Amino acid sequence: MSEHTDESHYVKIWAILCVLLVISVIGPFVGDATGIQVITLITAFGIAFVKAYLVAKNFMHLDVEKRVVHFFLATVLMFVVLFFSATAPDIMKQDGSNWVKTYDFASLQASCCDHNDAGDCRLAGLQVESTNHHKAAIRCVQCVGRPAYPADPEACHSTGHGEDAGHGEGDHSEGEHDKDAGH
Amino acid sequence: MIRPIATTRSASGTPTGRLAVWWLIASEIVIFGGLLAAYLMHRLGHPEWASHAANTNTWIGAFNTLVLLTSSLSAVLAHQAAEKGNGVRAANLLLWTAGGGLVFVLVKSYEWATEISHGMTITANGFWAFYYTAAGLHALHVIAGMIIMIIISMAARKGRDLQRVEYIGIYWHFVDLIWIFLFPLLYIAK
Repeated sequence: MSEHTDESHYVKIWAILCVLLVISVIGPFVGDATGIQVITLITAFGIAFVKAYLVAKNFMHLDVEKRVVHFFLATVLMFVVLFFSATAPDIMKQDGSNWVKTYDFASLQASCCDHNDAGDCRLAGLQVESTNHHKAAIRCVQCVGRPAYPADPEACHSTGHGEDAGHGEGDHSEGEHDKDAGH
Repeated sequence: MIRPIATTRSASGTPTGRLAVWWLIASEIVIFGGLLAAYLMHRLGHPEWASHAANTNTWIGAFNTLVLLTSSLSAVLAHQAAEKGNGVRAANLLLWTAGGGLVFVLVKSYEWATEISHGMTITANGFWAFYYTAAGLHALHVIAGMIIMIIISMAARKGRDLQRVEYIGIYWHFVDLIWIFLFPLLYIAK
């Protein structure tokens, strides 16, 4: 089925792929050194798409394959994109209009430490508090003497080791379920 | 000799055997695509994973990429030899391709053993869970491809079922293609 019958053609494609590989390895180092992130993105991920195109076209001979094959490869790729689009907002966002993730303590903790510049981030616990049953606010709680990860704000309160960041006892929400139930 | 129907029938204009390989690849796109999409969204949602990713060895990843690209070259040359009816050369090139797969798996074994011995196990955190799942699933495909290639090379050496050389080649290039995306995702984005 191949229209490229010359062996040197394949060797040439392989050589191009090797050069692209070298660029994709060196590029991120240049991106880090110069602080220009777009270099890393283009060399690492942009080149991956170019390499994939070269392999599919020249080695898999997709360019001379029947259209029906293109059709169902495009169909399944669309399913992957659909999957990503539908689930990414939930995975990637920490809070929405009526909900907040309470289980992702690691990244919330990092966020708290960034904002409050806490001296000892390892001891910073987390508490999710609802101020008006519509929009949750994430509060940092300094939980002295208690391991922070996984953070357990309830334990901080119940044992008296915690120090609330500004809200009274019983004011905190247990998470999105309670907030949703409030409507 | 009665040939299997898949090698002779062609309702779509594409030999049915080859169509079946494309169908397999379509399903693999959903499997790997879903896994990589899940990894991507978690990675973007967890900037702190960069500190875990910093522990992967870019040079080992790059070497394995080179190995797979080279084995893809020998696979396509095997296809070319099969098209010309040269079963012995096709079989030899398929064995070289399988050899590339063996090198890949051995390097990966060394890499994993080093990482696991330093406490970077599949249960360590989300990043390593994705790392071992994605790279492990890919490595299983490499091993499966090697086994199939050895079986096909034995028949090809006798000049039988040479069309299968192309079919396993298409599969092997797809495995290479997956690694092309795994490499920057797991080894370069730090």
